[in-house]
Amino acid sequence: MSQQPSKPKINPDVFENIEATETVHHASGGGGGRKGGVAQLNLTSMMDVCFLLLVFFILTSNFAPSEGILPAELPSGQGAKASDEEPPKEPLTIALRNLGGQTVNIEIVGDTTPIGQSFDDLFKVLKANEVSQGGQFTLDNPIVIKPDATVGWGHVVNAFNAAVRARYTNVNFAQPQ
Amino acid sequence: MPKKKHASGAIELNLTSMMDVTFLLIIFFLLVNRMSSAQLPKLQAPDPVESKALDLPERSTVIINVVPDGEGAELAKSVMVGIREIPPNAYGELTELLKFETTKNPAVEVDLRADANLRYSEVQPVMKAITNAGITKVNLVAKVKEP
Repeated sequence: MSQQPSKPKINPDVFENIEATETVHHASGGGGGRKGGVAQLNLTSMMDVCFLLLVFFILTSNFAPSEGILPAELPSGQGAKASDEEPPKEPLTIALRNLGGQTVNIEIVGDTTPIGQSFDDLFKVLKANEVSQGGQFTLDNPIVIKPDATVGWGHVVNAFNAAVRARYTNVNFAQPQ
Repeated sequence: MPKKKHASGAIELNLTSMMDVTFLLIIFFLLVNRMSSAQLPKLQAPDPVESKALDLPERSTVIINVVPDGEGAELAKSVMVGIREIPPNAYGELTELLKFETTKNPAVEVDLRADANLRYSEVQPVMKAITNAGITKVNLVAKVKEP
């Protein structure tokens, strides 16, 4: 006759003293057997902060073209830079005349070549007038930008930029007409 | 590998990839974004054809802003240097301010930032005030050429 495994004896004395409000805790089957439990990380707050940061940077980012500088030199009006030995160089004068609206007429004083309204054409003419391209002006030849009083500042800077593109180093501004 | 037994209805979500993408985006916008200076009033800087404007960071500068009287206006409302506002045709104060700044720091650069729609006759007196302070080297602010 096989012996059946003995059942654990229930001690009725233990259960006798339990009050109605007390709970009986039982060891859980899953956690009781593991040594050194794995810590659980709650990522909710971190995700909140990350998305807040992301939304902030998306809203504050600005993809507009940034501003830079064009170094210029203003006339001091205290005498020519050229030494006494060299004869003063004849300046190349760029006249800007307001045609109304946003258009402006560009011409080089003393030059019959018409330029029109394009500052890209002004650059090409300035480049062609340079000594290395067969013209008569050196890169340090003074250039005077002479706009009408009502010509927009943007056009004046555009003319200045064209001169800088053509690599002239001595570009000045005249009094408004 | 023994299968995990889940309670019915519970879904486990692996957030690793999402965190990777989120942090990549944060870093991208951090690098792309640049904190703009609070001292620059809003105006439309000139945008020359094939701009040769140089974007030089970290300079000691005094920025002179010629602010228009309304968006697209041809007349100047005032000249602003930092938080200081100077009315038109009273540019002696500007000359004094620039003399003080150059005495304090002789290596300081002067940036002239005027709206593109302003008339030349509005900006030229500002340039005169700058030369009256003994400053001949001025940087004209313009938009940088887009790559």
